[in-house]
Amino acid sequence: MENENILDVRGEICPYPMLKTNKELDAVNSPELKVLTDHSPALMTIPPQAIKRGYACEVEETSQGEWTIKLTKQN
Amino acid sequence: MTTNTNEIQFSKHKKNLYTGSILSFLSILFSVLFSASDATLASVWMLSNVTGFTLQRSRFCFASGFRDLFLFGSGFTLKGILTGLFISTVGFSAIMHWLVPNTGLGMLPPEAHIFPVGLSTITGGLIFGFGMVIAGGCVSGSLYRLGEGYVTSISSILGISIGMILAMMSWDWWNNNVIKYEPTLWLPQIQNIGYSWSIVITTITISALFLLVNYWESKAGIIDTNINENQNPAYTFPEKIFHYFKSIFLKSYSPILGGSILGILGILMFIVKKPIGVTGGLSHVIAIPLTKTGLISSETVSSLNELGGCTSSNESLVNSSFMMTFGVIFGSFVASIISGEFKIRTPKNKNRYLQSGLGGILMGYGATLSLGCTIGAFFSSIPSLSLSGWVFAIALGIGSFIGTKVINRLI
Repeated sequence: MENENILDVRGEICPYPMLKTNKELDAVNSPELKVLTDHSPALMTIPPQAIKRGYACEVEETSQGEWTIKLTKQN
Repeated sequence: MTTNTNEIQFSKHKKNLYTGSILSFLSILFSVLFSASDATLASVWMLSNVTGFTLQRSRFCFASGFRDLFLFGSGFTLKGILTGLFISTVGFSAIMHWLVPNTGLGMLPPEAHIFPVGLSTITGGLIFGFGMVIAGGCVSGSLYRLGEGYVTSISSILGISIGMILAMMSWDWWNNNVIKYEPTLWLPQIQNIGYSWSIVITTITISALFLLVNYWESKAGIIDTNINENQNPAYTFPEKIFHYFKSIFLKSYSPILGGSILGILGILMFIVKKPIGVTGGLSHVIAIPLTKTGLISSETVSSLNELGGCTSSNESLVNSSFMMTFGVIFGSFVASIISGEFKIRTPKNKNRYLQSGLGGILMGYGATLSLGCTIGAFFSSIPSLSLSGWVFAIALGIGSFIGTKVINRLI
């Protein structure tokens, strides 16, 4: 848990939250990645991209206008 | 147990709901004030508020509709846009048939978005399509995101304004050398095919595109998913009310639902006043000081008005275009407050301000040339059975394709 992967894309404009997540998933083959975002369209666009790459997604609203998308590698 | 979780959820939203109620009350109050002078303005204001609300709830972004097809192979939003176009086409045709029953007499339905088609449409579409991808959102996108608290939207709106000023200053050249020679082609009048065939051609093309987008997605390996949150079954009266409150105000709408609502709102707007367009309000506000100071002549402004439904007029500051533009911002603000999604968002990478501003300039210039944006010259134009809408759409697609090549480098 200590060295969990976190990708902070808060404040980024469209479409960088999705682009950066894809890039991270493609570059680092990590078993788990947490994406912090305040860009609501990312909640609709990141999951299909992550599923395509073999990850399961869980979306959680962490505070006003901020979400954490937890991506876990499926075997 | 279920009641408990619902109550907890509800209390979390209480504050947002109170603020939202006050804002909704303000919106109605404005509407009552406007109706004292002009009942149409009041209706346009309310409809624009609902439009902004829907844009925010469905995260509807015309830019992503085109862009994501190339960037991610996803046609998620585009399918919503196509649904809206289909619905609007049916409604617009009924209204136009009522305005102009006989298409053989050479008359065009007033206020419908039927524009000259040619080099100006293509150039405008290319520039606009490229600009909206660079800026991270088109004009309507920038407006509703401003309502949600995106600071970069301010620079893209400033950019749009600058682009409009540049385009207005070069308008006479474009008009005298290009636009004057372009034909205004309305499908029912081409070969005199009338309404029935125009509707058949338009709706079949939209449906075929819908299928094509799904095929494209299947090739790109895009999965249609529904990430369902565990729904608590609603038994009691408060639970039932909360369930619907949640569906309308808290949960996001699917692009298909968003597109459908926007399609219906477009029809209502046409009945009340004119098809929806959001760049007109901005150019109207800009044109006033420009003509006052003599930077552009009033002849230029009136020639712009004659052609475009989406551009300014000589009326007072607060006209229906003004209402549409600012109503969308307000509606989105209310939606983001109630759903708890309002947040001042500033980018860590400060170059994003420059990027949005430059994209905005391109959008402002393009929108003036093609007499409207993704809404006015596309979403309201294809349902008007205007050929310009389709040509603009193709140019938008090509422009955004080039745009995706550039933004990948600006990561």
